[in-house]
Amino acid sequence: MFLRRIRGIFSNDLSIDLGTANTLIYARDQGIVLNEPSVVAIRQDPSRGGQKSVAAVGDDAKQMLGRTPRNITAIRPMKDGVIADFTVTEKMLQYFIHKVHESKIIRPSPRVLICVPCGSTQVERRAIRESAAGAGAREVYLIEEPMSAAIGAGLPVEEARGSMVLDIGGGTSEVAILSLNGIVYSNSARIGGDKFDEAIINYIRRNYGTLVGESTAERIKKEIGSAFPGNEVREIEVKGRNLAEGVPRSFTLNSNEILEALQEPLTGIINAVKKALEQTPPELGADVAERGIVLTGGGALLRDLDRLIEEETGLPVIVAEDPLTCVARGGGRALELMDERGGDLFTVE
Amino acid sequence: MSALPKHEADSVVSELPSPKGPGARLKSAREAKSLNLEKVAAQLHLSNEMLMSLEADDYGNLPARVFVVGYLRNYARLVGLPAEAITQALDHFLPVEQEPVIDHSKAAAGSRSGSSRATLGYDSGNLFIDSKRRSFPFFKFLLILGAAIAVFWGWKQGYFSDVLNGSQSISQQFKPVSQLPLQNAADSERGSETGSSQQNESDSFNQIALPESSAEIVDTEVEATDEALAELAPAPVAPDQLAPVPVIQVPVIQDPVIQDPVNSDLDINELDSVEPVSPVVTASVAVNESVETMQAPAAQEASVASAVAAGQPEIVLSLTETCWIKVRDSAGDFRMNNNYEAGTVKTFTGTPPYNILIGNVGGATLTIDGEPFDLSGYTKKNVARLVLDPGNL
Repeated sequence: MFLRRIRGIFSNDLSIDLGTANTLIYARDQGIVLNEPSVVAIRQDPSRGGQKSVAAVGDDAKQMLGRTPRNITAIRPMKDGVIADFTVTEKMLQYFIHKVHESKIIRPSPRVLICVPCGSTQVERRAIRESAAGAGAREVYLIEEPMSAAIGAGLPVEEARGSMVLDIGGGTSEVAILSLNGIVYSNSARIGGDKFDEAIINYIRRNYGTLVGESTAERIKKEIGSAFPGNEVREIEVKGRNLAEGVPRSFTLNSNEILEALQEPLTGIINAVKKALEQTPPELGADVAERGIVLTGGGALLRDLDRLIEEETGLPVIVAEDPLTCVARGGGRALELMDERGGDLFTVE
Repeated sequence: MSALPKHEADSVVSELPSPKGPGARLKSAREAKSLNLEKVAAQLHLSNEMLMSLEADDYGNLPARVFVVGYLRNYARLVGLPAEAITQALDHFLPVEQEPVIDHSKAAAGSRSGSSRATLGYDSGNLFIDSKRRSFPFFKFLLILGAAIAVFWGWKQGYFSDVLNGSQSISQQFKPVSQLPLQNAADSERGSETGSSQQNESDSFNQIALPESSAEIVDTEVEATDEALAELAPAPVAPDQLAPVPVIQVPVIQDPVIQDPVNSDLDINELDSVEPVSPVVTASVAVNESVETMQAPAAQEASVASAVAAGQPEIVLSLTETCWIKVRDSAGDFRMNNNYEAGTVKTFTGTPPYNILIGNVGGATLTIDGEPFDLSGYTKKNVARLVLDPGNL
């Protein structure tokens, strides 16, 4: 314990957005220092009796996703915003923490604040906490993602006025109404970027009889994905394995098709937002109606998603600046505020 | 809410007279497209007042920066202006530094500068009780530092040695409990006196003026101490059980010494009050001495008389092995408190009685006027503890 404290002097306080798709680390006084996919490639060595070792983490591992030989497995240890594989998550965190302290000779032991989905259970939170402690963290704090996202987006959460934030991550979409540094209402739908990809894969298989991988689906989503019909129709050429012929085939998709493919997950998100607005106390609802909903998270980058929500709810919708890093930045700021104003500022566990 | 075709938007941009504020630029673009304010407000889901404030670049009436940026971006998209250029222009009118959440230093200083919105943020920031929380460890540190200084100062001033002496004077006070029967009632007063320099005189005076009836008193006392011992004997002294012993003894012994009940009461009170301080040593010494007292009351009387006549007997401590010696006389003039090597010979030159502690008692010999003094009665686990008053032997 004492040693950890000494090592802590040489470590930076970190805020980690341990997301399903990407892990972002914000180091205090430095900004975002790491943004890598939450993917770990594990090598199983048959010569050592099947002993497992980490082959790659992050960007390198993501490139291996779906392209690995038999002895390597590229896995995503997070699912639906929570830990699916405890040991691998711990290894991944360890790698990331070391990576941001690369130049340090002494093994880092930082204070770590991790953002968790507000719908996560006690068991899931404990898993994240222990995983971070196992990765070398000196102290672990947990903060709920919408709060962190709101702080990161620059919402005036300390005011006695309702602020609504919709954070669409890789695994979950969090919608919350905040006021006076606290969460008044929160709802978490296990719909996110992964579900969008899944929907695209299913659509292509159904309509084109072709199988595409996750990476391809993600590329399609980023390039031509859209949540609201626009004037401009974009196209993309993709290659996949034709299920009938069994050979790779090339075909062209357009943005309207993707819009159609994404209807189901988008409806889920819209429903979560509408439910939140229904449950919001009227005073706070009026504040939200006047000022609008703020979108954060990687999902907010889906083209015209703000316009879709705007049309569905009739409220102004704003995409935060740099929505991908909002949660990590907000966590970092929460750490600073905790030091400045005391630990009970936010509902940090 | 349909955006303009691209070529049309470009022509609008080129026709702009490039006014200063982003709101004004958007207003010009809107007017160029002949859109009225109400229609745009409805499309952006904003109130007319907010849109007018936005176009007038009056950001004091608008919510936090994040909202303003979002409104501008949506507005720019609607009228076909490049959103990035508009939001960059905003930086001149609404710098990022004015964000209430970001600017903690101003919040701490209670600064009122900036817009009304920002001020609201600062005010709510001041509501936190952070100053108390943060200063608490500082006060705790000050308290600990103060306590440490007080202890050090007390030690330098010898306060603690006074306390130790105090505990010795307590043992002196307690000693007369066993000696009371041999001495005059006035002797019991000696226990309550702290100035022990007069003790010898009072001792000699009392013993010389010993009344005729003292023999009877001694007899009754012998019985009384018998009772006291009978009470003590079956419980062979676990240290924690010894503590209450003096309290038991006092009323028993008090009976024969009814000459001065007031003083006796005083003694009892004092004993009660000092009981937690009085060490186990005093109890054992008291018992030992009362045993001696029983053995030869008459002989003691005689030796006391001779001692008075001959002056102070010579007490010599000689060591054959290395021993830990702690001796302090009643006046505080003579002290030994160290590890003494074999071969050391020390003559006690202070004012009796002496409070003596001898470690490794096997290697120490105590002689009084050349007569060896038997320490075995006072020894427990090779450590002798006793209060030695040669005048009373």
